[in-house]
Order: sequence, then structure tokens, then C-alpha cells
Amino acid sequence: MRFESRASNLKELILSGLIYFVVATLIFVILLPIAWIVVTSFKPEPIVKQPYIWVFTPTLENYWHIFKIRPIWKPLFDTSIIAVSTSLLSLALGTPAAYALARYEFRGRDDLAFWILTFWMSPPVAFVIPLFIIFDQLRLLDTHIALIITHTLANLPFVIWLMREYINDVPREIEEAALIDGYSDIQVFFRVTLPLIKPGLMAVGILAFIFSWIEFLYALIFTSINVRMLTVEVTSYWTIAGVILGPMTAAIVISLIPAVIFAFILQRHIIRGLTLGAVRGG
Amino acid sequence: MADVKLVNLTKIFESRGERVVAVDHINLYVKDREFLVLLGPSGCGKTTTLRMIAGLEVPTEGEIYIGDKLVNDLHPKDRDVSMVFQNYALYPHLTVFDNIAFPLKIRKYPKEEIRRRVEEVAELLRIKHLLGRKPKELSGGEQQRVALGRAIVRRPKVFLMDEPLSNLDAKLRILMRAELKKLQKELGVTTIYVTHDQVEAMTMADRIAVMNEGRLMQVGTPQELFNRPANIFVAGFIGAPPMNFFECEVKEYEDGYYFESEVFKYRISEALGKLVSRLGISRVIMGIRPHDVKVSRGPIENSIKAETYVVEPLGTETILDFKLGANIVKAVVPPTMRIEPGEEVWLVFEEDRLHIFDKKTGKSIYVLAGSEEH
Repeated sequence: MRFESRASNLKELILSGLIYFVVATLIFVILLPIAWIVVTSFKPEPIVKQPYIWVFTPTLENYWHIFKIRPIWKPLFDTSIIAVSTSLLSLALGTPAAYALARYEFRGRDDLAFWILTFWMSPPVAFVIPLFIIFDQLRLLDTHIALIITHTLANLPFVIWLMREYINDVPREIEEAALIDGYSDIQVFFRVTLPLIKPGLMAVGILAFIFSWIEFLYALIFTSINVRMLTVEVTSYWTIAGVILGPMTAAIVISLIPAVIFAFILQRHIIRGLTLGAVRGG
Repeated sequence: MADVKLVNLTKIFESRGERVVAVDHINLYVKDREFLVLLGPSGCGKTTTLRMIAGLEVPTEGEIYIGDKLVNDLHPKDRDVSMVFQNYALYPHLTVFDNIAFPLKIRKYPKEEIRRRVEEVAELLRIKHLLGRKPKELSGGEQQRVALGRAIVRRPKVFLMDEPLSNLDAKLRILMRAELKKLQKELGVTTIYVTHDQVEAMTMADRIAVMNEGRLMQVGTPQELFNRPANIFVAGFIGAPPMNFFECEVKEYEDGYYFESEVFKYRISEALGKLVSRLGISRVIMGIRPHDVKVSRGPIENSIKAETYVVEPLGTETILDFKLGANIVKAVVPPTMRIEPGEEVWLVFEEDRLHIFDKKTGKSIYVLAGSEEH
């Protein structure tokens, strides 16, 4: 008996050790480049291109460079405007669409839902040329609006699909009870369903924000001088004279910070959303 | 207060080219203050009927009247009904107080009156101590009371209840059954109650409307349905243990009329034989309730020999299963009658306890004879 339980304990120990090892390796592989960027951003100019030096006196000169010599304020502002607007617009358009797809019976509903999903599977570059021509004719190239529209279009498929799942989690009867208790259809949506899917709105809104924040392709092609996204700004340190590595890594660190903060918030909301669903089901 | 009238009410669901007739031309009149139970197996259309009355489902055909008003085109909120759902459908983000107050707040009642009425209802349902809690902190029985509270706080014209007791445990269900019935009588509000549980229907209803496959099978008081089922479906659905059925041929011999099955020959009265032959029925289904089967240890006139198969003592009574050819016949006898499995007995069916149905249509011959007179 004792021997057996000790053997199974050993087995468990080895297994969990193995899992920790694999996870640690993965985290190491994923985080190493980021750690390298963060470290490099604090390196003084003479050693900035020597990746093997890990011990040095940290300096803020690279950050001084990006905030004072070549200000990053403008791209930071542009990116915030675009990402926040994209996130809000995606939710404003996507949630009612998701509600209709979740709650109303109409001919071809499931086909329509799947058709929307196919846009998620298509390569973004496929839309570059048609959108470029459209924005050109509308005189919208190099404006915030062009990127907000494009990012919203790119986000809508997953916003609609995820919100549809959250709405499906709300028991139909709760809405029906509210209809009988005296709300109109629109009031039920705004006063009953929306409060109940708040965790979903938070999670999906943050996802949409992050996707817009880190988007590069459309930002590179549709904007240039008036509007500059951080992802594009970072590449501008790649000059004819070579890569200006110090300020570039500092700019990357700055552009990463909001994405990381929101990712942590998102993590909390996804977990909370899931437990809320479990309680409701019970 | 109001009566409810359904005229030719029909609902057809269509999805991907498939047509399902959920409710098939139902005509039903529910009297003012009446407790009417819609009873039937799952999928019989009873919930769809209720949802059409509530306005949650649009009828394909037919009319719904609440009071004298045709409500087909009225939004659920304008029908002045309230509904209790099977899963209670409480608002999870609101407290018990706000859940019950919800319909009043929407209708912009003054704050003071809302508070007074919610407290009144909470008192009545004995949930006053729970008013500050959220639904997920309540037990099933408490949630059920809150759902009831939300339904009655508004004093609507009609209560609609969709299997409100089915999620409670057996003991609580029996308790709530009585309470709900008492509450309905006290409030005097017309109530339409959906259930698949025939005991629930029998104990609570003023009248029961039995449904099957979208059609109304019979409407009547519990006693009427039990004593005079209009067709085989109602006969088999109501009563526990269920009625015994035998398929018989009607034969006329020199000495009188007989019902002949594969395993027995049962002599019937002249009057019954004549009635059946006048109706032109050659094959009947003969039914008898287990409580009406008399068991004799020795052969007597017009009795049927059978072998005891299973004995189930319940304390207050004993259920006996007999083998009769390939059929199993159930009888309920007093616990004082001790019979062992394997024992041979003789079963007596008294003619006035028999239920006789036309094999072809499934209709009771008494209904057929009655409609013949008109």
C-alpha cells in the first residue's frame, strides 16, 4: 500500500516536473526577445549592439531620445485614438449584429454567420488594394478615419462571433420575462441583455483594442505623414545609415506597455466571464 | 380579472424546409378565476400554446382573446399577463427586491407603493428576509418563490406558468403544489398552468386540458377525465398505475355478446353489446383501471384466470402484476390481501368499471354514442 502510493507520488512528481519544464521552455523562448529588447533599451550607446553584455549601468538616454529628439508623443496619440475608436466602434456595430444572429430567426441566418466568419480567415493583404482605391477616392488616405474603418472591418467578424457566444449564454427566458414584465424589444436589449454581457463587452473590447494597437500592414499602407501608428513609427529607426537600435528598442518598450496592461486586464475578465456563465447555468 | 379564449389556434414551425405542426387548431375557453392545467407529454405543444398566449410566439393561424380583447397583435408587455418560467428566469444582476419590483418599476409606480407592494408579496410568500440577496444566493425553492412574487406583484389579468415546480425536489414540490393552489384561489386570478405531471394536474386543476401531438384530446374536471376519458390517450395518460388495455373482437353468440381477446372471452351485457354493434364497431380496446380489477382466489362467473407475476407492497396498498398471455395486467389491492408470485388467481372486470374504445379511432364508445344522439 505504502509503496504503491509512494510510486504514484513519484509518477505525479515526474509528470508535473515535465510539464513545468515544457512550460518554462516555452515562456523562455517567447519572452527572450522581449527581455532582450527591454534590456537593450536601457543600454548606453557604445554597447547597444553587443547583445551578450547583460551587466552594465542602465541609462535613460534612449528614452530621452524618443521623447525629446524624435518625439514619440504624436504616434502614441494617433495609435490611442485609432485603437480606442476601433474598439468602441467594433462593439457598437458588432454587438447588435451578434444579438440579431443569436436571437432572431430568419432565413439564411447560419449561412450569414458563417459568411461573416470567413472574413476572419481571409488574409488581410487581400483587402489592401480595393480599400486603398476606395480611401484614395474618398480623400481619406493618411487620416485616422481610414485606419479606424479598416481596423473595425477587420475586427467585426470575431467581435460578432464572440459576442454571439456571450449572448447565447444569457438564458432566453430572462429576456422573455422582461418582455412580459413590460419592456419593449429595444429596452430588453439595452437594460437586460447588455448589463448581463458586460464581462463579454469588456473582454471583446480589449481584444479589439489590442488587435488595432499592434496592427502594422494597413497602418503602413494607408497612412504616412499626418497619421503615424506606433508599429510604423518603430520601423522608422531603420535608416539608410543603419538601425538606430537604442531608441528603437525604447520605442518598442513604450508601445508594448498598454498592450501588456490590457492583456492582464483581459485575462482577469475572461476568467470572470467564464465563472459568471457557470453560476448562471446552475 | 379576465377569461381567455383560444379559437382555432395553430402554430407551425418551419426550419430548413421541415414543417412541424406544434399546435393544431386548438379551441379552448378558460373561465375567469379558473385554474386550468395544460397537460401532455413533452413535445405535445402545451408550452407553445402558453407562449402564444404570452405573446412570445406568433400564431400561424387562429385568435387569442384575453377578456373581450383580441390580443394577437399585442406586444407581450401590453397583454397584462405574467409568467413563471421553468427555470424561473430571475434577473441575476438584481436583488430579490429589485426582481420583484421590476414590473412595477417599468410601469413607473410611485416608489412608496412599489416598496409597500413588494413587502406585501414577500410577506405572503415568506421571503421577506431574502429581499436584499441576489438570486444565486438562494435555494431552488426560494428562487421559485421570488419568480412567483414577480408574477403576482402586478396583479395581472392572467397568470401563465410553465412547469414551475419541475425543478424542485419531490418533497418541496408536493408542498408548493398545495401552496400554489391556495394562493391562486386567494388572488382569484385566471391561471393557465403547463405540466407533464398528471398528479400535479389532478391535484391542482379546476379543469384539465389534455394535449397530444398538438391537438386537444379532452377538456374536463379531473374527475371527468378520470372517470370518463374520451379516448385511449387520455385513458392511458391519466391515473397511476396506468389503465390496463386489451384488444378485443366483438362477437355475438346465441347466449349473448362477448369481447374476445387472444387469451380470454369476456361476456358483456346485452345493452353494451347492442350499443357496440349499433355503432358498427367490430374491434374494441377494453380498458380497466388497476384499482377496479377485482382479484379472486377461486374461479367465479365471467372471470379470467391469470398467474401472479410481481408483487409490489406499498404499505397503504399493494400493486400486483399478473401475466395474461403476453400481456401484463396490473391490479391494486388492499395490503391485507396476501398473494405470492406464481399463484393462480381469477380476475373480475365489472362492466360498469370498463372503458371501451373504438380500435380504429381510439374514441370512447360513450362519446361516440353521445354524439350520435345530437
